[in-house]
Amino acid sequence: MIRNITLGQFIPGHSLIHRMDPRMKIALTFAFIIFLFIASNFAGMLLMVALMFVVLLCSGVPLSLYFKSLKGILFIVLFTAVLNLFYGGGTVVWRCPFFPVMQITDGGIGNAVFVSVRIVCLILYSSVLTFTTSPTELTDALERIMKPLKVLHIKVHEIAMMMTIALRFVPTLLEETDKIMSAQKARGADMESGGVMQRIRSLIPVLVPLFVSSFRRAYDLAMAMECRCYHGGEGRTKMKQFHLTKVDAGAAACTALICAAVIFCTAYFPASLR
Amino acid sequence: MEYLSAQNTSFSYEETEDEEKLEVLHGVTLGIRKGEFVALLGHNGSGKSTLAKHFNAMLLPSGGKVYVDGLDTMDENLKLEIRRRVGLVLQNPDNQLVASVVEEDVAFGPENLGIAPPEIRRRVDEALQAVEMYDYRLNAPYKLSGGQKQRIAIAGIIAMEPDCIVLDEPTAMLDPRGRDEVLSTIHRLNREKGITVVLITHYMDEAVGADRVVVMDRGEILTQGTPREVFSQVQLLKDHQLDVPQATELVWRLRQEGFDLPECALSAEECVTALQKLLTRDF
Amino acid sequence: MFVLEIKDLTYTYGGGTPFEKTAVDHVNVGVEKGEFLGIIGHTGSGKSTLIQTLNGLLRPTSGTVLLNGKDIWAEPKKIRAVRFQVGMVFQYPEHQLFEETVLKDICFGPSNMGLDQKQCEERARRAAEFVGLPDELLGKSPFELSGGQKRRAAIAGVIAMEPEVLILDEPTAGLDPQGRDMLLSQISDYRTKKGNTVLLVSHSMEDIARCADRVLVMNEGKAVMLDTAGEVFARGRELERMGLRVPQITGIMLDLMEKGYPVHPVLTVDRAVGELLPLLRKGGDRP
Repeated sequence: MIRNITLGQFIPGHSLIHRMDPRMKIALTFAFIIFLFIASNFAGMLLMVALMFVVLLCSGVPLSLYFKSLKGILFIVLFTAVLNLFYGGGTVVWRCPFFPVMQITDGGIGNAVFVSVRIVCLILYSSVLTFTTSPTELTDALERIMKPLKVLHIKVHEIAMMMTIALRFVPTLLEETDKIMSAQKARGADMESGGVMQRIRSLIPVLVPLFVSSFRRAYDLAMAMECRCYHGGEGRTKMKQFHLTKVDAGAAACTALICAAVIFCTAYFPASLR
Repeated sequence: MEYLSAQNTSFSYEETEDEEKLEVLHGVTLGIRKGEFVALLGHNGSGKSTLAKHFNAMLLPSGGKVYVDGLDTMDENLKLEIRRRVGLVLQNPDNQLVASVVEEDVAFGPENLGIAPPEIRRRVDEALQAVEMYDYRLNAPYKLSGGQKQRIAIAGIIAMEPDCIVLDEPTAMLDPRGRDEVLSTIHRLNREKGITVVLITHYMDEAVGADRVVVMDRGEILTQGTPREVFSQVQLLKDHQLDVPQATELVWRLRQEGFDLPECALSAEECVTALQKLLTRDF
Repeated sequence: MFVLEIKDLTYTYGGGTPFEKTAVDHVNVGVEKGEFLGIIGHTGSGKSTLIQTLNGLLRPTSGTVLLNGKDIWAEPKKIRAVRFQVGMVFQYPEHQLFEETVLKDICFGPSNMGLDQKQCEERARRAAEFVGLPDELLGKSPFELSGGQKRRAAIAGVIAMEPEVLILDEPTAGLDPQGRDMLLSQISDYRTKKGNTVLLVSHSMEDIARCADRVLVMNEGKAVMLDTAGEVFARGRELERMGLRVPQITGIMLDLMEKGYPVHPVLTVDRAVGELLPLLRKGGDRP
């Protein structure tokens, strides 16, 4: 079951978004997230949603996969939406007959819609980044973006390498966990019943073998890396070079335009338009 | 001249608190020529893996010397150059892949060597084609079969353009199909690219196709020679609880009974032909 | 009577999603009490999924598994009890070791059954004996053992539950010939002494040929053959078309058969020598 989690799943392809420089993708994702929170009226939000849909369509990844990634957070969205329903001023639409403090206002409804749209956009837009960028590209790009931090004696290359390896081993370790759990269940381990303490204790037969195997893997991997002449970031080259192309320039220009429009909307349309 | 050369090589693991010094190699002398395909056979604990790790300076001899193309493995400055020339493939295919995308993993070695990006690209493509995994270059390694993963690991070594590959029980964790894939891959690399191969295994049938078989037992070389020479010593191998292919054993057993059969049959076909010859002549 | 009976069993992964895959497809198998059943099939043939339905680790999509005539899923809450009766040794079982000492680890299963410490230790010692683990190793940490010893300790952990049916998935994977021979003969001994049923899943036809009374062949989720080892391997050419191989010795005998010699597709070198000697002698006596 554990294996079904989609964790930053990369979908290979040749779409416009796939071909973009991952550094630009990261930068634009940041810009998008910031402007999601700047956009505070319907006009602005509409623009952001429109931009998001264009990007989704350009990514060449089936839309169904995006919706699958939403499934996991549906509960959080609903929860925050319901919570927001009861906060906010304005005309009262409904009041709880038993607890008069609980009331839904038109402002609350507006809040709820806004918050849900924001979370959904946030997830979908960052899924574009992880779907179209391989984990190695992502860490490479982060390494390059963070390069200036070297001045502060931060080990940028080592951090990026650790991220690459961690991402590589996540599916392997999940599979391993599954296997160990089955093996212990076959010996009668009971992991589904009992109180909190008992459940925690019942994890020991899974966690100990998992740690042991992780250390063994780490040892093997370290040896394999040494065999392949790994000696730190010094003098290393990269097969994939990042080049800013016309696609990147176009994407940046479009995003900038939308962002400017969002600022314009926020500044000139009265907030009551919500 | 010999490409890999172990000269009276000994190796002991360092003493620890509760374990005394344990010598696992006792003065082994072995030379391997360029382009040769050598199978190194033996039990677990016979020292075959330990010896293999000496050939790319992953382990350093505690006595004697090991040379790779004339380079002394004891020289710290030569370490990287030695590892570029002699690649080591390990047993567990899951634990030696670094990146989440096949082609990026294959690029790892050349990247460490500081090779120019377009050249890395060329080498990666070529290496993936050499192991017949080019179509999988954008896949995630964890979705591949064991045999495919092991071929990716081999491609990762090939991309460094080594002269020699040492494989430490590369098939031990694979199913029969995976074993066939890996074996035919390394035989092809040896034949077509002239890469020297040292294959460590405990499957006797994998050794049959080698140019030379070296049998190790308890840290020493028990016997060596062509597969035919080695496998005709059935009694010696059996005394050391080593297997021989069933075809070889059958012919040997019938020979013991006094029948006029060749000294050694390496494959099923050879065995059948020999038996047929005997049966038809007699009938 | 069958100790285990698989009736029209189907198991589908990811039902209702685009990744739906039928791993086991309408399989019917009856396992006799006390028999040694070998299961072969290449990776992805559904054999691993099949055995995991036998002790209730996987619940079949349709069909039933009967243990001594009773549906194991009749009372889903009591499925743990089934796991004590159908012991399962997974591939690379040494990866499940976790206790401080070998003895404690072997006791894990029995103590989950609710036995007291004395009974657990008794069973653990008996199980250790079956797999040939000497007494002085039982007090050691399982992580100090050699690879082969770890494997045997882990198998003892399942045997200690004294299951009626013991299932082993690739128990010899990664062992050298010496370790493999030892383990297989211990498993055979265990079966003879206890009279229990053993199911052995293996890629190695030589292993199966040596131990199994009957062989089940799985291909693409279906049970395609179920017969005595001799009969199954006699259909060597069919097996080859499924990507399976017969033991080399059987292949040789099949070849000779096809060339018209009166031999049988035997499974061991001993038997082959036995078949060939009279044939050669008969010819040899003639001048």
